[in-house]
Amino acid sequence: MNKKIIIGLFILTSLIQFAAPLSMIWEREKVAQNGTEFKFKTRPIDPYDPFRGKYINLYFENNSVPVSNIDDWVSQEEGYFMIEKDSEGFAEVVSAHLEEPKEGNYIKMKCFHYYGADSTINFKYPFERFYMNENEALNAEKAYRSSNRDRNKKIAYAIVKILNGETVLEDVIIGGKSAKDLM
Amino acid sequence: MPMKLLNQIQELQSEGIISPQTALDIQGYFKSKEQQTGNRQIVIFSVIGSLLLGLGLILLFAHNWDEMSKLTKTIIAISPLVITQGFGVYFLSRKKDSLAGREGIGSLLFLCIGLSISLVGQIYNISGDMPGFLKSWMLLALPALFLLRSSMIAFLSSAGITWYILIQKDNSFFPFLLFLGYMGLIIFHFFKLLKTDKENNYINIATWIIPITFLFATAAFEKSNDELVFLNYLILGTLFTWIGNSRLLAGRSLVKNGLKIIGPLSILNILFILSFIDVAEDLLRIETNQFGLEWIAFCLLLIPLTLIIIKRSMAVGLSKSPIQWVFIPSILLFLFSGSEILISLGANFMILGLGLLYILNGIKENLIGKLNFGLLIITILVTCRFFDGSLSFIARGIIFLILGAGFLVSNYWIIKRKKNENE
Repeated sequence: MNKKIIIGLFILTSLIQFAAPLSMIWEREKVAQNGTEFKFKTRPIDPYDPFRGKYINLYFENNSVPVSNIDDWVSQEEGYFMIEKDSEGFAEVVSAHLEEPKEGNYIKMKCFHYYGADSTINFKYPFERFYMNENEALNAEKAYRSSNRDRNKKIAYAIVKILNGETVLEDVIIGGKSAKDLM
Repeated sequence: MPMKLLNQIQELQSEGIISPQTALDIQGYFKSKEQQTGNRQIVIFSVIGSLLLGLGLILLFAHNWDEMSKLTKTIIAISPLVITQGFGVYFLSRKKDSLAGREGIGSLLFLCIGLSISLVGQIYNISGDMPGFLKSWMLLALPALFLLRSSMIAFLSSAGITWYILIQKDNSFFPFLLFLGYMGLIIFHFFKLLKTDKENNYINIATWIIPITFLFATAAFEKSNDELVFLNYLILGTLFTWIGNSRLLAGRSLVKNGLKIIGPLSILNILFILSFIDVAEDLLRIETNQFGLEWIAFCLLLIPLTLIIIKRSMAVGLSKSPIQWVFIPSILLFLFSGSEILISLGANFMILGLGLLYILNGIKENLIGKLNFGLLIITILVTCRFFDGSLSFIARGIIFLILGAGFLVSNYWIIKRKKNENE
């Protein structure tokens, strides 16, 4: 192949390689700037990812919702889950839809239909990992466990921005403090 | 060139054993060989250096530097990719034919693509969609494989795409098409390399890595009809054996032709598994009327195998051992016999036959390696039967004594015969 063509193609593929992380940033920034903020009650635990480093894994209590037409839902496929604030100001999933809603706050999530489950559908939040400095991730888990003993401080929650079904996890608050400031 | 050798050449020349021209030729030969070794070392060091550099960067960034702002972190995350791409453009426009440069930049570029995507994931707390991450990484790296003609990208990405196919949970056929297309392009890269530079070291490595990749990936072609996967492995092993002995790869030593080792070992492994009556019983549950991924893999493997066999002239190095044919009686037995006793008996007899043939050929050709391989097959067969057979301790003891004596006597006999021939 001609040298000039090879260099041209290499530059073209370089631009595509460069655009991939950039488009990810663009999508997330759009949600972070314009999204509505919600608090999701959670329980943090500290594992790690070989490429992205330490993170705290977030376990959410509210992870299933009743649906009227259970047979229409296929495991591993995505659905739209409406979010509202409860009396304490925390987010909760109130309903699930196969079609994208026209208004309101909703999240696009993968659903899980467990065998034998009568009329509820389970779902997996797209913000279950909060990446942290490797020295601090374990501290966050410890802080949560110790705050567990004190009823008043017990609450840990994730702050999430939501826009048109997409989400960005902004922070995790444990016992009133950001997980990053627990040191 | 070692001093000792130089002195010896001078000595031979002064004694009149070799002419001055021959002395010069010998010196020239060793000099060119030294240069080749030097080049190879540069390539190896440039690849190892680039891989270490890339992995070091991944670890450093994985620490997650809280002190930096989102923007700083993002710029730092993407800059290794941009710098490596810059090196790539410079290299392509200047030193296109340096193997060390091609492989070094290729390895680093491959890692930097993964690094930039994973770090953006870290900065924005994107949940761990590992299959999606691997898919984007491999697709973005693919064009560089052909533009830089870097075999290192081929090795790294064949590992990546195999990882992807094993962990993906898609309900459609798309991941499988992607895997097959991707591996097809990687094989095409090595095929081209083989045509232009037969002695290239990367071909030797590819004859090991590509079949191992397929061994792993075949497990992914399994959804509900898992009994059929045994047959798929058997055909895959047979395909490796035929390709390993094809005209393209003929004349290479076993170390430089992994297909020749992995193929027969896969076939024997599956025969050993099926020689257990319990497994054979499971195999009868194959659902011949349920068309799914397993049957697609079965057909995809059988078609190239049939083509190679029809054009038998393509395979030149096949020995007299019929290991490349056992798949035919196996398929007939496993799919149509309907009896677990026939299946396990068939597998036992095929292993026994293959073992005996290796022993006989070893003796005939005076090859201790082949002889011992045959004896090893029979020993494993007997050991396997201990676990599901009802043989008495006395019978087992006697069989082992016979086998042990067989090992000693046959080896001694061949060594003696070789000695006699030499004398």
